[in-house]
Amino acid sequence: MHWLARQLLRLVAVLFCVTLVTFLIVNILPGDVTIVILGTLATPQDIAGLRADLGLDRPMLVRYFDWLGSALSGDLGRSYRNGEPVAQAIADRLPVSLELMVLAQLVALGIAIPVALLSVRKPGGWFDRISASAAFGFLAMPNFMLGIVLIYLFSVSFDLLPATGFSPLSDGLWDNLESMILPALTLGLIEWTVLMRVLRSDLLTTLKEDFILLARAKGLPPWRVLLQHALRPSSFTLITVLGLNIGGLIGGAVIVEQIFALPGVGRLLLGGIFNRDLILVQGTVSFIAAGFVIINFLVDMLYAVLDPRVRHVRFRN
Amino acid sequence: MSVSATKSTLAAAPASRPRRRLHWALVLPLGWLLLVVFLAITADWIGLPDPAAQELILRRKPPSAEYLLGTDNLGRDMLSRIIYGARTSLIVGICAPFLGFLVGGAIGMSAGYFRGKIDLLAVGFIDVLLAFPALVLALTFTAYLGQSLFNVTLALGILSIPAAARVSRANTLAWANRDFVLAARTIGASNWRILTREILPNLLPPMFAFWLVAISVIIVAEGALSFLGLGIPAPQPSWGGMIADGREALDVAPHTALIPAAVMFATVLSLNFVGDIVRNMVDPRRSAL
Amino acid sequence: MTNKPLLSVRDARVGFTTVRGVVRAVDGVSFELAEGRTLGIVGESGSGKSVLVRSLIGLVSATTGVEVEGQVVFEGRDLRKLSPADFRRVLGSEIGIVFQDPMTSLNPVTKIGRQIGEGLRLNRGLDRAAADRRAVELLSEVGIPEPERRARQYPHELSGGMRQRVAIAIAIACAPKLLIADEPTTALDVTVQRQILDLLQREQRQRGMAMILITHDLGVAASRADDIMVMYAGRAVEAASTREIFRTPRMPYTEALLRSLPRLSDRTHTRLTAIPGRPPDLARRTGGCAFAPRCSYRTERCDAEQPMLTREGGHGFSCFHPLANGA
Repeated sequence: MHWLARQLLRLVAVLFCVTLVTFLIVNILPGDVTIVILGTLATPQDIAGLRADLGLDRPMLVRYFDWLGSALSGDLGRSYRNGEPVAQAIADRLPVSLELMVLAQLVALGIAIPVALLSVRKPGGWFDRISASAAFGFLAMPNFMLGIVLIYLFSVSFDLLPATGFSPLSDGLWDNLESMILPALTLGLIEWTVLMRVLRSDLLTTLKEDFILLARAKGLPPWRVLLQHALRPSSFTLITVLGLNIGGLIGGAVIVEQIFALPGVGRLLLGGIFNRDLILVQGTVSFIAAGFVIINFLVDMLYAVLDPRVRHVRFRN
Repeated sequence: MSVSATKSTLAAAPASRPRRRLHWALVLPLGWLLLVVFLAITADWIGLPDPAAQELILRRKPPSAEYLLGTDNLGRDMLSRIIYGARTSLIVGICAPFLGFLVGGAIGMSAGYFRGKIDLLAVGFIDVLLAFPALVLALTFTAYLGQSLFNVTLALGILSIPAAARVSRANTLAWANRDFVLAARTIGASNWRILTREILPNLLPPMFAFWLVAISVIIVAEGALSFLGLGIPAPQPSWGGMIADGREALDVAPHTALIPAAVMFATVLSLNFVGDIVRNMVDPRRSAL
Repeated sequence: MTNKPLLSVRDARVGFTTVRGVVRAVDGVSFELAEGRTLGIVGESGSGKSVLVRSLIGLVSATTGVEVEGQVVFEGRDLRKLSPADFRRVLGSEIGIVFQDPMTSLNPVTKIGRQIGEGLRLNRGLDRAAADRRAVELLSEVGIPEPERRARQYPHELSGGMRQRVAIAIAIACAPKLLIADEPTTALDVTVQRQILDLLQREQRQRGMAMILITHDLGVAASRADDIMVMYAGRAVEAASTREIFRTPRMPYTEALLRSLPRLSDRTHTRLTAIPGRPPDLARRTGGCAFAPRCSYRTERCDAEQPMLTREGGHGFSCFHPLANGA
């Protein structure tokens, strides 16, 4: 449990640094919200008045700790632009982003695991070679490009799926899913390549182990050897990579939400950036970074739960 | 005819196959990259129309003899824009990682060589930078730095610091304890001399391989920023921005989005190909990845 | 006692295709094993003994670039002609195998009880509860204390010797007729080696299993095997009853191996004789006897011609200059 305490402490330290860095970036760098609000024709007096109203005239560190204090109680401030509470704005859009990322992850795993399993049945065989080339190709495809290509194929050429727009779950499950298929594919079709490569290489290592021979000696058919004995011990790097890739996934979600006009956190952030809405950007970036750090922390935990060897070393010693 | 051809290649397989495959896999991507670089450098002198010149009557024209790759939403010549866009992509793609590698390399080298507090500080700094999803950090930087070619390069350069620092730190750690470094220290060489004369030369090959990979990552990142409208500002052509523009007319003039997409794809794919080969040459252990 | 052997192997060959050419890891080996008997296969590492046995039961063929030839008759059935499903049935229910290193031969992320019960469920049709119960019985049978608790543990929670006991429990779970022990004690502490060998022998006698004991240690084979086959560079160079091998070795290689064993009758501080040179490169076979370069009896003929396995009574050897009978 000592280990857990240390990890938690580290988590808190990183979270603190991350919010501070966000605050510094957002506040030091040029770009003035007052001009956005008042327009370029505003008088210096108007601007000074507004700065005072918004509290922008106080020292930066004071403002940071102010912000941090209320953030800890769940108050991320109000948007300079429309007065909407930032926390509320994030909460409203979070489900969309989460749904997108979970679906994308399912698409990625749904492709990566079967493809990796089929490839290692005959390394260097035709399936292995084709899947490796496909992975190489998809890896070279930026998500904004893939999104456009998918829209072109499925919406413009064949008119099968909506190109943009979002139907909330309240419109019915199918409508909701239909609006999510292309966005999720856009993210998932790129993500699977990395997962497949990692899993394939780990599977190949595992398949050389004696316990695989023993499983075969027990008379298990090849597919059961693969699924029951090889897959789980080969999946630890996969899980680590899943965690590491969440950063990419979040970035991808920002772009995909923009392409497909999905009302998620990423679009909220972009809106904030375009409008120079300091407090909104500060809130969303901090929220995203904190979420990312916490997810990575949880992946580390999951790793310990899944691998009895790690559990043994970490929790008993 | 074809049967005998296959037979002879099979028979000669052990000797000629690897060489031939390397041949083919190198010539195509290298050729493409050289073409892109050549055009980007000579863009001003090969008689291209002004990439910003609008011809509104001739909007969204498909490829023709006059406009080899057609025209975009504002009637600008696509070929010219793609070639000038290549210039943007290459400038950012080459300079940003270079910048990151100068700073990150220095950080990583000092961390790996001096260890102790410096190392702790450097690792902490890297950890915090890595705690942000890369694109979100890039967005925030460019948004507040202001949009320009220089600022985009700067932002993406900052983003490549952590990776560069990690590579150089790990390699410095590995080299710093080798006998020849210890030997240099015993004859009284200064830290600066050891770092620059003994360690740096050994650091360059892995850094170079990593730099090649970084180029394609940064080109994609620049594309993403421009696609979102936060990268290179408007009249200056950029592949990401062209794809974003073309997206609006995907139904009536798909070529305005798909052609820059294809060019970008081919470039990134070629870079990955060449990067893979170079990385295998530098570090055979990583060839599996 | 039946006259028909339980297992008969004829002219087994295994070749690996590598960048350096085809490596003949096993080159024309034949032997027979009767029910209830123990055959010790002895050789240096790289002599092909493990590859031979693994190839017989189809455990090397999955890798690409491997070619296995020869006839393997088990209980009257040619194993290499069975369908994959039939083959797996024979392998799972009638042949048990124990590997060298129990660190790697047990699945690290599966509970021990499950690993033992798996074969029972598959080959004996037991349900999960029955298989779990039987697994506990087997654990106590191979001498593991607190079997109920151990069955719920993972391999890394057990010591090396315990793990090898678990591996034996897995091998004997389906009551096989043949047990293959591939260097079962090499990876273990010296103090545990004997216990494991005793356990193997006890189980073998109780169950009337035949056993193939692969070892690089002639001493181990001497005390546990009825017959011994000595392998060198992928070939069987001498085969006879254990008593014969020790009393009258005919092949110079066997003699050299025997000399490298410590004997109780030796004076203290007697130097053991090492065999000079190293095993040959299997990718570059010469036309002659593979042992010739290291042999003190070598003549021109040894370099030019490969000796065939000749039999005198029950004693087979492949040498042009066999040691005198009864020397």
